Amino acid sequence: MSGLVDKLRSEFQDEEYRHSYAEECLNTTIATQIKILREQREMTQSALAKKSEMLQPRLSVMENADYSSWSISTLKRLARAFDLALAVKFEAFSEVVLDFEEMSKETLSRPSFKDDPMFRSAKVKTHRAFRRRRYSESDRQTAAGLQMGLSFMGQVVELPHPISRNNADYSQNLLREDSNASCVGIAG
Amino acid sequence: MPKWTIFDYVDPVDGNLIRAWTVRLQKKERAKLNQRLDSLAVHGAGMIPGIISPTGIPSIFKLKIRGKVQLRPMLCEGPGRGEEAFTLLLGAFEVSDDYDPVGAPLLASRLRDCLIKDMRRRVLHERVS
Repeated sequence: MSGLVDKLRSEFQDEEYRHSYAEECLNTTIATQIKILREQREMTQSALAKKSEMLQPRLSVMENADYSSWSISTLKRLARAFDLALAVKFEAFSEVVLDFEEMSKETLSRPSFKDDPMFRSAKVKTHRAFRRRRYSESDRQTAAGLQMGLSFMGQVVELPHPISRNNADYSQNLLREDSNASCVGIAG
Repeated sequence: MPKWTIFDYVDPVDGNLIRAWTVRLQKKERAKLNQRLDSLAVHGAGMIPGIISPTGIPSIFKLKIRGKVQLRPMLCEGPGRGEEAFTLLLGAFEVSDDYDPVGAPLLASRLRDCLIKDMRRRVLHERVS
């Protein structure tokens, strides 16, 4: 069970509170992911700034939990520089909190197109499980103790098949699981 | 699950001034503050860039929380040796490029010194929601 969720269950009954809290989660997550993606690609801030056609000081400000003035157009430029697609979506508060709690280098790293296993091997078919949630090793250990159900805010959520999003493991898992149709993603 | 423990400095006379400072904040500001403290408790200081910022005073850091009011609570790592903890030392704001209270990092440094001399001067963080 998530300790953070337990703490937030009563606090989130207040609309203004939950929106402010979630907004901070968004800001810190984007700043963290930009830094992790840049480091994953072994780029300096200057190199990323050049590739995304912005000034290095601006990028430095964005790679900070304190930054909040995000725009879709800026994020699109960064996505292009990372050779990633930008996905913007509306999300339930429960997902935001769980994502934030599970946030790690592994869950925020993403392969560029050239390393994307879906497009590297003809053996790999569309795999819904791999489009779903990422759980780190420690999360999986916790999850294993909870068997097949995770009760959260009155709902039962199916646990995902254990998958590491570390690039090498990710690729290997994807190929290995290609013949195994029993992968389970979070119900939704 | 939280890995890092958050403490509040407790004044021997006036009690938990961090709590008293937090109670006076608007709900929106308290939500942002709590999110940052949860981030510290879950991820520590190494994961999220800029989660804590240096103040220019050794061992004293600040949380930078933007909004209508610029929150700058002062904190330190530990200060117990090897412990995975942060201690909130002083509630502060930033107003016109200055701290309120004036000299907040230095004041926080003195409180840290007091805490190191007497580690009973702190309690587990009292969350205000």
